[in-house]
Amino acid sequence: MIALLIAVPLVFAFASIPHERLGRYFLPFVAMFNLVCLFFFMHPEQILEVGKWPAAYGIALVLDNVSYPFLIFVNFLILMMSLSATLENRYGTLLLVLTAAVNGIMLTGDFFNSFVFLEIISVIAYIVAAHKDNALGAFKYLIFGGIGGTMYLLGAVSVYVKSGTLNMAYASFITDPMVVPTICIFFLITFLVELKVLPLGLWAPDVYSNGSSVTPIALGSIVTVSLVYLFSRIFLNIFDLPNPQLVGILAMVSIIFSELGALKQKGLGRALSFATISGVSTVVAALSMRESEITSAAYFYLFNDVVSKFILFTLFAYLGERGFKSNKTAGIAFTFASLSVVGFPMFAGFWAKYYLLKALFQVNSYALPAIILIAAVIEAGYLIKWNVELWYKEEDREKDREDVEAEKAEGVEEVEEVEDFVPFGAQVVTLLLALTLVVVGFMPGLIHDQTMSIANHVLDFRPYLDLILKGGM
Amino acid sequence: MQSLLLYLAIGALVGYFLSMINKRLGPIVLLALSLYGLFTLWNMPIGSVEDLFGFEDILQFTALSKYFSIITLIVFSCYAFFNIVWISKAKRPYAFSALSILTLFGTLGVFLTPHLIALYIFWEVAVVASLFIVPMGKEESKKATIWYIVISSIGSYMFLYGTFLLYSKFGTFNLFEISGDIASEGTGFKWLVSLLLLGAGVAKSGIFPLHVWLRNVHGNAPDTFSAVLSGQLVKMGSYIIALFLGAFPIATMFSQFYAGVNIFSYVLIWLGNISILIGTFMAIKQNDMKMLMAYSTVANGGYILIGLALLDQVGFAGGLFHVINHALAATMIFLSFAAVVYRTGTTKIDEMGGLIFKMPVTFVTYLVGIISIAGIPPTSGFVSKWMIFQSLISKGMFVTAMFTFVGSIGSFLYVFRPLAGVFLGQLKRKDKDVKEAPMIMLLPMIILVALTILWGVFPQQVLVWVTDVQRQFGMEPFKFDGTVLYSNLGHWDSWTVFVMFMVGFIIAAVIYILMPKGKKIPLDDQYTSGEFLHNFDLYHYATKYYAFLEREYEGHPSFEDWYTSIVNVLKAIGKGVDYLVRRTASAYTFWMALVLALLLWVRW
Amino acid sequence: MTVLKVAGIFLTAFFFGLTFEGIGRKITARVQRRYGPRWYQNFIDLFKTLSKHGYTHGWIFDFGVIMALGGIIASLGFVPVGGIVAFPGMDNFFVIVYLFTIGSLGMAMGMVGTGNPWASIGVARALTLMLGYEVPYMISIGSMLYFYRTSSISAIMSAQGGDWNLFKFPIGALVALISLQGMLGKEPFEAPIAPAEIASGPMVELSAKYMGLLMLMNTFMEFAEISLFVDLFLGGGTYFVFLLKYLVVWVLVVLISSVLPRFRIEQAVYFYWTVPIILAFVQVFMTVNGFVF
Repeated sequence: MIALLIAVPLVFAFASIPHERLGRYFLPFVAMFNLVCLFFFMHPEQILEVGKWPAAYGIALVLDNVSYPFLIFVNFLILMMSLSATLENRYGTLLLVLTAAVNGIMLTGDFFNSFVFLEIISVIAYIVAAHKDNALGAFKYLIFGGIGGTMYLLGAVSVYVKSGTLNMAYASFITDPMVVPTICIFFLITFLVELKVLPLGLWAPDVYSNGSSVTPIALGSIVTVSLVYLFSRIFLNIFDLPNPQLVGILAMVSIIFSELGALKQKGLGRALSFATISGVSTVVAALSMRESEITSAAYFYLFNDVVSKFILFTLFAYLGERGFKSNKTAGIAFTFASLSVVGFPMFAGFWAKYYLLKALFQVNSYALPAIILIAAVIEAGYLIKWNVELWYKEEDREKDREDVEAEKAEGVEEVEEVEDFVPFGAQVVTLLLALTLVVVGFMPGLIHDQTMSIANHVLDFRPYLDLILKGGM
Repeated sequence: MQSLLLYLAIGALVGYFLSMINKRLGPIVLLALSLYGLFTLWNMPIGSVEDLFGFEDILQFTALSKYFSIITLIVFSCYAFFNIVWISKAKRPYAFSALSILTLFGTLGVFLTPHLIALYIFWEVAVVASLFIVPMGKEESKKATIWYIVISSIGSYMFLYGTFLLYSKFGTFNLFEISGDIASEGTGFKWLVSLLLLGAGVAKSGIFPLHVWLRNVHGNAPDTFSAVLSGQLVKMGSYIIALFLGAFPIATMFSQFYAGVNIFSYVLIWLGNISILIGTFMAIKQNDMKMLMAYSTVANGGYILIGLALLDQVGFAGGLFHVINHALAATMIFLSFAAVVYRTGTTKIDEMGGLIFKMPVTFVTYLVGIISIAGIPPTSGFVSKWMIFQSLISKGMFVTAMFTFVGSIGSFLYVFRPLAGVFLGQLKRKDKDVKEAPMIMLLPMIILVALTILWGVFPQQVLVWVTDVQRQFGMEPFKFDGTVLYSNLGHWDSWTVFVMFMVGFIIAAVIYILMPKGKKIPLDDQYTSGEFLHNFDLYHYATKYYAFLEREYEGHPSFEDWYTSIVNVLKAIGKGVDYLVRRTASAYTFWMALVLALLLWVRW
Repeated sequence: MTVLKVAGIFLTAFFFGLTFEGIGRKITARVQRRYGPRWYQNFIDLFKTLSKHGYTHGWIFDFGVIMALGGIIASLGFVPVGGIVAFPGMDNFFVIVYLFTIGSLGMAMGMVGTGNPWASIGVARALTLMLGYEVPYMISIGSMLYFYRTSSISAIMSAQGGDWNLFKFPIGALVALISLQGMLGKEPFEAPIAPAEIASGPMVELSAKYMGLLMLMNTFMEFAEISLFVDLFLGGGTYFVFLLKYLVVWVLVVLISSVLPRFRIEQAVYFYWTVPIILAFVQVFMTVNGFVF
């Protein structure tokens, strides 16, 4: 049953190949189908042994309490993106494959299988990254991603060499503890690349800032969430994170430097890209603590960051040179999202920061909170600057209009004014997501209960092992 | 309290939609809510505890809450009243009204809760709401917004960090529960927590070194909103300072330093000293009247901080009293400026002149405002200044006294500049047809004038509030008997002073009336050193009013520039990061290899 | 009784103030090898100006003049004149100092209200000078308030007995005397008036009774300021002893002023903020550490 989450998108992807145009119409329905399946027909603690091979020998797809909420969130994001993004013909097919791959990577319980899905994601990501003629950015990503993928493969191979199995649960059970750190280093490099932790995330700003309504969302939101899942699965659940302190420090450095990078930017797109790096780095830094409250807060933070950045990037893609005066809905969504990113009260972002800081202080970790708050000051500075600039752009434009009228009087062609520049779908989606942020801002329990449950499950290896190996080998 | 906050929250929405029907309805909603709030909170007994939105006992009505809420609501009522007419000049009236109500919601929330996280939430609501009003002002106001949010964020995140530090130690967010246990903690912890928590107060009340935002923000914000910023939002900072200095046993937490003042208070007092110095001398050289008053706010913030940090019977009361004085005076002054700008459209002092003959009521408002700011009896400004001076002298803190004297005398200089430049002197020809501001604008100004003089002559009402606060914090309350105010350096009677003032005035008036009447001549009938003048617009001394003094400190360091250069350094680092991003892939692989090696090397 | 005392103070200030001013003019003249006017010349001037029709520049001008005189009269009422203390205990130093400023503000406002830039320049200079002399003055008096634990002038006056504060606080007295020179607007601190330079500054547009009222105000102000000095440093004394001391201080001030040129305004401020302030702090240091003779 759970294989449908992978199979259905794939089938539709192939079905759309003859008629490229169909892909983008399939996408929302497929995402919807996945969500419906997840909500009504699939419930956690399921395992599917592909080809009836017992878990440790064959590939097992696992739907447990960790992957279930992640799957819902990712498919929800895909649905939203399918409604908000402007997809050229072939992107429908690509994104269908991407759907299959991210679902796959979150379901699989097998190292090599996850590598395969990772590579599929990467290949699609390179193509998506090249959207809007951003070949150079895509090329950079290709090189980084290539090395990252190789490392993952090396890791998977090492697991197989050392333990004789590719099954995640079993491998962690029988791998020699002496070699685990080495193997984890390989995986870690992959994740640092894919989760854009500086300096390995240097590819991200060029890729995300291409002005597409697809790239930053497909890569920054959807792929990132699925990889955070994989990160937690590997480093919190089945193996230990190697050298967590160093990872934490690296992530903290990444937070600060990416914020500084964002501060410097003159373009909104690059500023948002850097902000994304900072957001995910915060999540990585928090996850590296391996403590349930902090992990839960990290997921909350991820939720807020991904949803807000979704809004910001989508609106950025449609914004061009315009301000918000002619489109207040977009403006409100944008402002809400940026306030939430900074962490102002009444928005989800506040609770993300609140839970994170509270949890960090409980384990007497004082450096990361300070870094997060310093980053928030910088973030507040430039995000508010962009808000104010976009909201109050109109005054300048009115002057321009007068010029235009003057020109018209002189016989110069009138520049056409577009009042509603954001497509209807994108407006609805961004507004909906912005309202989600507000609702969560007032009722943080909605998300916090979920993240708490994920965190508790992800840090407890036993149920996963039991689920896959059914209590014995 | 809960219902009041609820009404305000709903009121923000209602105000938004009602202003769509008619712009003037927005301020009217705010006025109604402020008056309702004033009525409710005035009558509310101190010590009431209420739930908020299902959280138990979050709201607690202390004496300090009462005092600050009343100040806030007075300021907001006058502001709302004034806006009923002024709103027609607002750039975005709907959002302006709604955000104003939201600002009131946030600030009242801050005053009503001792729960640190709830306080922080309300605080940020007030900041965000006011944040989006600021860019509705002049062209430079967009830049000002950034100053505002960054400095404000520095303060509030310091506060948040301190809050969580306390939470990690004591497991509660309730300030009054914490304050009992904090004295036994380590010295470093106490210093850190106190400085962090007061960081928000320092940033918000415009104390050095976080004073730089005031000039930009107060100077460029929408004209009436500057009144709220200076008269009320800045007082949120003073509230935080008063709350922590009062609730925490500061005197036992830190060692004594000089004259019974502990070392922590002493640090604060020095921050206050520097603020007074900077505020006064920067105000003296401003040509923009709103920026001038913004620096005056810095100086007065310093006074308040010094008074509060003295933490004694007279000084603390003086600091608290100064809060209400400055709130009223700043509101009066900024509202009168708003009226001037409403009619003339400029804030530059040397672009105006002689408006007194066109706008007499506005002038009187400004006059009483500055008399109060300068601390001259019979306005309430003198009462608090007297208290602070008495406390400083009785403790023998003469260096601080010197700064307060400089600030006090210096305030005569800077308040006189707009008086002479805007209201007195030659009337500009372009302003010939200027009329007095509309009646609705004048009314709140007149009310504020009346209050300032009333509390200057009969300060008992305010002193009751102030001494209630002192009693609640376990201090010896300030001693007063009717209008006679006592300190340990003697007493005075505000009523006697007022009577003497009237006597002097009547004597002078009688002499004046008895003597032959003067003949009225126009302003351009002047001694002109023998020159024949064609343009009396130029015969008005307003540009570089204190040139001879200003040039003595021309090359002073500018903190605004320093902070800008810090930001530039940060941006340069950011540029470095960006440079790496833009490099070709070969450089990346090098980096990757380096990190890989690093990780491996550290591990084995 | 209080009313009588206040009236007594006013009348003393009126008669002796004007008389001493006349004597001062005579002394200045003699120092400058002139004959000088008669001692009662100031009475003549006052009554002559008051009785003439003048010119006004609008209501703020009138109001400013009344406020100036009224403010000074009000503060004068609080100043103890020898044995005459109208408000014992309530003659608080800060109250008096700040009541003075009402008069100054009234004058400044009225004069700038004439619309003459010379008046504005004069007022700007006067305020700047005030920034100079008030600070060392208040610090040095502050040290006395600290020593006697009271800020009541009459209490300090009576606490001295025969032992004058001039000897107990010699440095403070010196500072106060230098500041007094500035307060009175006498040379070398005469820049705000500077007749030859800025056409008498604030007084440029004054005529007839307005001039007279401000002359009266000036007399009262001088009387109050010198009385404060006499009360605080020379032990006050009975009525006539007080007037004698007053005369001595006044003559000293006049003598100093008659031989000195004028400081530029920034020089004056610079001077006040260096020498007298340092001296005031020396006095403060001594007082706080108990070195009081």
